[in-house]
Amino acid sequence: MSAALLVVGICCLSGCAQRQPEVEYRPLQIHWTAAPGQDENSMTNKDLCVIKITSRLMSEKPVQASKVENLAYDVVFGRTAENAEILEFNGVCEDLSLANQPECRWYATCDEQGDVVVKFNNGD
Amino acid sequence: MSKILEKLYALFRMNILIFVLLAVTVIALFAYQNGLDVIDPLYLSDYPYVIAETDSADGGTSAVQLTRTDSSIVVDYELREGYAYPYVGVKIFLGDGKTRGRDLSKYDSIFVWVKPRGEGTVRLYMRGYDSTLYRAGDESSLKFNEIEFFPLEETYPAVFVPKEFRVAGWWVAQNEINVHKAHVDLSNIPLIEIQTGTNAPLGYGTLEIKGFCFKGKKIAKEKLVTSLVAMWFVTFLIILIIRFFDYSRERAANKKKREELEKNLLALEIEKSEYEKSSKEDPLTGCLNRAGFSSILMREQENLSKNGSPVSFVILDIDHFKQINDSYGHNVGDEVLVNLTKLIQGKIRNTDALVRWGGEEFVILCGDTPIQNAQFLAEKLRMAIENGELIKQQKVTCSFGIAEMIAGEDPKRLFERADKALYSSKENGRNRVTSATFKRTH
Repeated sequence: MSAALLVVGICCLSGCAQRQPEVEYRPLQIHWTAAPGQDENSMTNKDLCVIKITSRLMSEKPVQASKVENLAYDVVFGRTAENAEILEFNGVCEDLSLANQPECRWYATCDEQGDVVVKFNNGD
Repeated sequence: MSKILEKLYALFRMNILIFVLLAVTVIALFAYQNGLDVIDPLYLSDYPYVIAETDSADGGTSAVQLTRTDSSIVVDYELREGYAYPYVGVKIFLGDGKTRGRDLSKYDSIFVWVKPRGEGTVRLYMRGYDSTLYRAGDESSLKFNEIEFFPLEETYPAVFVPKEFRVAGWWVAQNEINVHKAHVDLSNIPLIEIQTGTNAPLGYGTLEIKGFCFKGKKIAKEKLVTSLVAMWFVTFLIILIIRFFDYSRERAANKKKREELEKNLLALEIEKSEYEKSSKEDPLTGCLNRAGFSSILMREQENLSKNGSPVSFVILDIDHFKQINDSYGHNVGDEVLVNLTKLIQGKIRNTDALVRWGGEEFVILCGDTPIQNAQFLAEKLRMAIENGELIKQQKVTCSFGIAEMIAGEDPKRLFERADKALYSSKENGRNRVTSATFKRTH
């Protein structure tokens, strides 16, 4: 009986104790380059889009679940042919030998309000 | 030593004054009680202004004969019928004998040596001059301050005090004296009379009068008390004045001391703030050092835990810095560090903290900044450094590692993640930005 009470007490105490959140380290590199012939300085929403896409990429399932140790993307961006206000981003893993991995090729668009759509080549 | 004496003197100065005052008072009272006597004798044997008198002035027939001896005067008399109250006696003139006599009021005892050779009482008149009652040339207008007594057979004198005298009622009645004037006054006595008393028997008799002795104090009791009170008053006034000046001086000294203390305090505070500043600053670049970083980190941790405000940590390292030092010397290396600091400080917000972490390693703590924004900032910085000219000798680049703080996380973990990301940037070719993205395991 007393042993049970002791166990319950320990459980309560450990429950009350502040826990350090545990996180998994996952490095990510993104190298942004404007598409040939495109002037990035004229893209007013580029910075906002870069930040939003970075954020989205970090939380995307394929990235989170990637087995690649060091994810590094080369991203080429520019205006879409259909609408100059919408920017498109093509991301490819820096290490081309990993190009077949689902997280290694993605396409994203970002409109002037900063609404972002990211699609990996597996369709997610 | 002199300071101690001064302090002792200051401590006891007031008390000494009071002690002296008390001593003077006690001595004065003691001396008054046991000394300070004034004794004025009046021996009639050689006193010239003495005459005999009888009741012949009032219609009587009594006879008198005055004889001087070596030590007294002898009054031989025969009281006869004739006047209703027969008498004989002597008149002793003092001063001018009319208007300016002697002041006997200052004496508290009057000794009279009268030796009768017969029966009956003796009358003593202290005749007082009062300008309001005196009629010029009329001796009877001098006030009759009288006392009547049985002289002692022995050689001892009869002793009287002034308050035992009274003004003769018959004189008051005869001269219609106002009752307010009919009081004993011995302040100006030009004439003393010694006469046979009311019940002296008719016939022969003798009075032997040796003289008088007036005994008093050198200073009147009232004067002594008044003087003492005045002395106490003046002393306390002096003490008050001294204390007032002491207080003013003390106040001025305290004020000066306080001003000096405030000045010292201000100097110390300035010194302290300078010391604190210098202790939290890197002397070469002027940015924060690790000590300065701690307080800012705590503030940002608090912001994160209370408001959920994200905090990111950017760590950057100059690529191949050792080579720069080895190739161009430490001065050039220092130039790189200083110029890099200037460049970064020009591109970050005031709320961001730039810290020289050690050697060629810097940290930027960005409050209210999620990791994606920190990555964006790092990328901007990386490009600016790459495209800028920190030194003329060669191009300088930096590698970056970024991590975002998680609420409740031990800062060490955050540094480890950022450090790993930096290491990743270095491993993958330098001049890169690596974000330590994270996934909560639970």
